[in-house]
Amino acid sequence: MGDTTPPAAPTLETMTVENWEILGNLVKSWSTQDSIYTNGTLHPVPRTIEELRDLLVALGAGPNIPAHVDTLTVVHYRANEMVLRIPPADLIRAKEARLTQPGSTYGLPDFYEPDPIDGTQEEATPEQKLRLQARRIGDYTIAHCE
Amino acid sequence: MARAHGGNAWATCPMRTAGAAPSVDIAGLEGYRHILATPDAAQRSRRGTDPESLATLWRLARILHPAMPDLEREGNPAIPSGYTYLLQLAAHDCVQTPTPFWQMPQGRVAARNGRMARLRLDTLYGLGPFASPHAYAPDDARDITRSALRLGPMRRPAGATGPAPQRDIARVSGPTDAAAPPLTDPLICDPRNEDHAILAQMTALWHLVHNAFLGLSSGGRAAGPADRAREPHFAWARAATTLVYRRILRDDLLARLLHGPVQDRYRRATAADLLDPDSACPGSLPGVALEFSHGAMRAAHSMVRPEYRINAAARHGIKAALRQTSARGAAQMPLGANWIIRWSDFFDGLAPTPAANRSLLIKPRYIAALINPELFEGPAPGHGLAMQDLASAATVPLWSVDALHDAIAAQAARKGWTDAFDDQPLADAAYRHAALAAWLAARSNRFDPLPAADIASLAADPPLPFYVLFEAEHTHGGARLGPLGSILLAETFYGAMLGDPLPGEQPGQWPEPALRPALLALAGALGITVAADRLPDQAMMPALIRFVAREHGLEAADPAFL
Repeated sequence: MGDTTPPAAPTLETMTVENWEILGNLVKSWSTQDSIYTNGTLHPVPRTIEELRDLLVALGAGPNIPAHVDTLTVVHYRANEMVLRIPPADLIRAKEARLTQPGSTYGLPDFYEPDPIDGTQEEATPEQKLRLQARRIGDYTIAHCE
Repeated sequence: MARAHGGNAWATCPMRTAGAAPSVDIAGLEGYRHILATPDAAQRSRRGTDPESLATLWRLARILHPAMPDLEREGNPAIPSGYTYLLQLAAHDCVQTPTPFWQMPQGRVAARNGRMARLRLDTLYGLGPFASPHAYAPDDARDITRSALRLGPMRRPAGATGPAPQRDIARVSGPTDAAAPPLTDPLICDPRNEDHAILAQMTALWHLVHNAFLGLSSGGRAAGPADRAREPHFAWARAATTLVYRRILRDDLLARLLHGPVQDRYRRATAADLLDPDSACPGSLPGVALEFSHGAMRAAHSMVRPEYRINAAARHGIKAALRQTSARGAAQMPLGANWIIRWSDFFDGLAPTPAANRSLLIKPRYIAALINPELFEGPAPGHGLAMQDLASAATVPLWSVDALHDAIAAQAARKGWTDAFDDQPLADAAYRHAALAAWLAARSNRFDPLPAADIASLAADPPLPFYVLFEAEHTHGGARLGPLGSILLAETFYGAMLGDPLPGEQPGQWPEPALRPALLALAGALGITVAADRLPDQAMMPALIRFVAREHGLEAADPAFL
């Protein structure tokens, strides 16, 4: 769903993970300072891209961090703050160029297909809803609006 | 509480910590055996399905899924990616197991190898047109006989008129009331050959090969009932396809993949030269060696790229290819133009420039996509295909690497081989243990360091699927398999061909007769007349693809075939 691009378009890859739930629960643990989300271990918030990569590998999240991503900025914010993250212009332009190619698609993380898009959540169990929440948190924490 | 919140960022092994599950007894696994002999307790890997072993494997699986940025620049110069998927097809031609070993509950046997004849392309042909008719197209409107392997129309581009080119495998809908029913069922003999869109295209290619050979013989019909008249033509097409396929495995695929001296030795071997006499008895029991199926063959998983150029207009990730199937994405079937492979992107020799897609180097690592939980939900969360491979190997403890080296060296000496492992340093146990320990220590993660006990244990008794990858990287930088992995593949592949030769094959004959005379002899034996100048003259994938393009008029096809 999210990894189809034509070959001729400019590419500017962004970070992704294979297991959004693991990333989302990790972010929840940092937010709440509660280790119940991370199986009893409260991992420190990473200070560098390398620390983030190694932690996600250790947890089995399957990070894909392109080599050109070399800086990590962590923002803690409160409920009364609106954090506007202005994405880099080159990302937006690269995505626009790619979307004009025949056969290209606007990619979404894999989990959107089976979970919220295929049907309503009326029949979903609490576990399923919490898994969706964790995945969305994981996605929104590292995604760019591009 | 923790479970209700969905916490799953595991820092410790999430598997059971009490109540060891028993490993599976080989006696219950029909169609499998161990290479050389069933190892005794001292010769088997100590890594079974007990909680301690699984926890160690789980930690190893983390290391096998490292972060690997910029893999797009990596590629094996000697192995274009088409061979990755030819190897997958050949694996399906040796092993057919309904239940992965790692899924067998509590050691209860639910698995067997249903592939009785190996490397005879049963994976394409099933049991033939009468027993597997769904995979075959009717010869005419009366549908009394079927000889050609089915193909199906690709998805017609929006606005296009006329019949769509037959460039996909055939697919149909299951019973449904839907107005536009999704194509849920591929009409092929082995549904695993539709595991992903690239393999489905490889399957369609081999269907085209069969049909091209069938077309060469269509002029000479024998007298008699229709089915009897058609039978020699089908037999010819199947035998010719299989003959070429086996030669390509020997001279093209294995020549690229195996350690050179091992390939040279087996290429000239007779059945009597094999280390294991059971390797050359593939017709029924004994089965396929587990050290091949659940050890060395897993090396192909490290050859998978994260992304492939499919043709001039499309590039797709492997995850997209895995979803682009009747099983996972029936509504998107049949394959559209952006999934129809231009084979010059997968094999060298079809275009002025090398194929764009190269196999990744064979190393102890799996790409991140193979950890994806939607596609590879394994025996432990977050560890994907690597853990599946390791857990399956542990379910039926294989020969330990140390004991296997010793047993092969001893048997090779009895056979008069000068040096089974080609004097490679890894053949020495002390060197091997030290090299493994150094490799493992260097990859320990700062947030989850591999315990010293794990490093010592894995260095002394490495799981065979992991070791074969390690050996390939250590011996050849990942360009091809090392000696042990090569011997395990060669015993199985050459054993199947030597022990079960096709009509016209002469096991052990070296050099082999040229391809064209061999095909003509085959046709003659079946009483078939074929146009000699139209036969392929070289058992290499590029030559075969050019033959298919010529016979089916695909040389200037749209979408491009070459």
